[in-house]
Amino acid sequence: MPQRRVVTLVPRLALVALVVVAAVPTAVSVRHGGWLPDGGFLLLQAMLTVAGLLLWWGDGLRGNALRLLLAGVCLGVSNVDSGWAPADAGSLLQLEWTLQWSAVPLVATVLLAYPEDHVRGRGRRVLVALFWVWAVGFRVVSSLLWDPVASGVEDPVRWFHVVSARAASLVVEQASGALLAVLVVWFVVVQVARARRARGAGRPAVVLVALAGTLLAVGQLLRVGLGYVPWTGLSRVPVTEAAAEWVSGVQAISGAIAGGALVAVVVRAATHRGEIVERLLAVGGDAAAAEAVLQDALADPTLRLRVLVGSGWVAVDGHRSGPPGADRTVQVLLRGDDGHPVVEVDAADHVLLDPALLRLTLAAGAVVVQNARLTLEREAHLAEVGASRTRIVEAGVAQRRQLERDLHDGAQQSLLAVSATLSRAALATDTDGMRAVVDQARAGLSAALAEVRGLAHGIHPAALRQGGLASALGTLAAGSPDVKLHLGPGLAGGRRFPTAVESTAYFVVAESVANAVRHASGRVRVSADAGPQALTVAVCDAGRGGALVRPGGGLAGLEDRVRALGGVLVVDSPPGDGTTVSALLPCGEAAP
Amino acid sequence: MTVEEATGPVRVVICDDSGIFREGLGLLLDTLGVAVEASVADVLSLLAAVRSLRPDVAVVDVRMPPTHTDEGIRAAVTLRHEVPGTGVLVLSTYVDPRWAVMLLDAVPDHVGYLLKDRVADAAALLEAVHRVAAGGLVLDPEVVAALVAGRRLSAPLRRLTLRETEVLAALAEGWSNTGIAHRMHLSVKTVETHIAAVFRALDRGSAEDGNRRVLAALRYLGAGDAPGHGPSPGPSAIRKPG
Repeated sequence: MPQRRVVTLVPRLALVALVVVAAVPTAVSVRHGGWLPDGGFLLLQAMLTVAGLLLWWGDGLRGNALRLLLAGVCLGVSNVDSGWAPADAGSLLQLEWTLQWSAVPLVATVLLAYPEDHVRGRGRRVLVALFWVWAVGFRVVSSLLWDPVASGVEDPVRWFHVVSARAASLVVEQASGALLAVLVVWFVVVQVARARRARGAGRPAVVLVALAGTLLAVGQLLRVGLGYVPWTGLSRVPVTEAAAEWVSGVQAISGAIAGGALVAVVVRAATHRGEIVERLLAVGGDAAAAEAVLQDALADPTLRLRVLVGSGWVAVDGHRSGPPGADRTVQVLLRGDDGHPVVEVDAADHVLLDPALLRLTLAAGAVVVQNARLTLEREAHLAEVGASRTRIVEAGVAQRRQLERDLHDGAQQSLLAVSATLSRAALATDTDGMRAVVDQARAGLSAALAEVRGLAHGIHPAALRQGGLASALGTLAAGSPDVKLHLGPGLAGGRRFPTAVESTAYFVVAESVANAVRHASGRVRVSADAGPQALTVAVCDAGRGGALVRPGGGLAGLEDRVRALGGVLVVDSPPGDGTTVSALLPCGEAAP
Repeated sequence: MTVEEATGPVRVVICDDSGIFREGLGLLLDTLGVAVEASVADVLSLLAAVRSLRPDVAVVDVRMPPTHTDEGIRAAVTLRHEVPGTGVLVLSTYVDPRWAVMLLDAVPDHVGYLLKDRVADAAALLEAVHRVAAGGLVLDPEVVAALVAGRRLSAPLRRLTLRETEVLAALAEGWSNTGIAHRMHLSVKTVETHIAAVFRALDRGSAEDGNRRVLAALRYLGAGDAPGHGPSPGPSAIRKPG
């Protein structure tokens, strides 16, 4: 895809150009100046550039990356006059003069923000703003009041100034020196406080950054205080040439160390992320292991995963999970391919300290956790299937036991009584007596037949077998004056469904009607209809409601039977407001 | 029948939770000349009726409320211990030898276990009532057949001839030598020979007599199935109500 290559090539070329532009003045200045100060400077510049490039491509912290790269450029610019700019370069020198300290607020911003991309907190933002005031504001004022002639600029026409007030300009310079001292102390205090407060995975980075920041700040203060302010001629403290060289050297070395620390921080972050991804990928489908890796990676032992399995959230051990704890301030939803939330990560708020780490960890975690979720879902599904299969088998056993009992208590006793009666007939001595006994036996047989018929109907109603669901529901409704039946057009013409579907739908209605008649007075509304894919039945009463699907209860038995056919049973029974039991059963092709 | 001659008709109390069967049985027994003193539907009423009426025989269904399992068996054992003068004839819908063996194990005399199907054979039913009233043991032939069939024939039983096995079954049903001779169309002498052979095979003395030899035969037949004699899937003991 050449289009994409162009898109990524342009910013890369731009970055390389920036680096070259920044490095050239320093390199030239090294040739003119000494190795110790300017070599240290070049090192710092190189470190800032490397750290910036790493941030740009690695963390995706583009703000910080740009700031560091620009700071490198500014450092290069600040070397223009000490290096190769001719004395008559006027406006160029003025630009250099104005921008030479811009690297300081840029680097300060990064040091105050990292590992985040933006400076957080009002105090720190004010600090950054004051750094800019110091670095650019004071210089602009000072340069506009500057007297280039007195300073030895050979072509004063090119130096833009409002009024030549050399003394005022120097006062501004000195005031800027005092402000810097204040800002440096403030900055160091803020960095120390940050390092002390930092928790979790972001802590090592914050501590290292605070260390680098303190080094750079003190170095900058030395450079300005002992090297630059005396040059303005307003300092009371005499600074020898050797001391100035020494200070410059110390600052260069501390700058190089600080730059190295920054690069180390960024490299460490990249390695750490690589490790995390590796460990997460090794987890496979184990949700508990994924949680452990995330806890470790984000340095939050209280981190919990909640996984959406079926219609509820479960913990990684597969148990239902309650609401997340009150102290969990960070809740991140990981979404599945369809955009629906599938996993929730509950963590302590310090994980936000390193957003790049959090983002990458969660992105890698999402893939793994989705896998784990499928495992959990499969396990839950298997457990549910196993449980419902057991319940169906148990319900079958219970039904057979009831059937045996009904046979034993009903038809069998009636037939045995007929047998006893017929024995008496054999003992009868006169015709009338025998006739009377035989009549009794006949009546007993009728009763026994009725019992057997009733039992058979309870097992599988004949109307269902012969006339289908509509006919069987009609028979059911006809037997009970309170039941009002509404058959939808989908059941017209005696449409037939698979036997199991018809039977289950019928028993949902029959048992719900029996419950309604038992628990509610007044009308019971039965409705049934079918579309091409599904058959629906509903039984609605105006009773006292409050019906629940209890394990082992009649409704649970119905639910199992409905779900065994891939259907859904819904019990809507608000207390005091009637009960509606409805079932939706996939019906597919009609039975032949 | 000696009992009837001495004290008038046999007096019975019927207990069955099925009203229609209770009525049919009552009318049949009445027709057979048995005096049905009371007809009740549950065990508590049965105990009360027997205690007050002191009948010769209580005719009791096995499966009754509340648990519909072995209420009748337990009531029979209780009755036999509490009211020694009253025999118990247990009527069962099903052939369940374990219940029968358990009952006859717990109660050695004045007791019987008969299928309800025997209401079709008025003479056999009357005979059973009379035998229980007279202190004998009665076991339904089908139950004995189930015992013989259900038991893997052990070495001594395999040595018995077909005839001898039939005699053993008749023994277990509670028949006397004369009764067996009558049923099997044999002479009493021949029956005694067979019985002697059976008890030799069972390694028991032929001196066993009356109910004791029935129990011996039964125990032998039912040992493998009886409660407390190895891993049996059946009822483990006569449980207390509740």
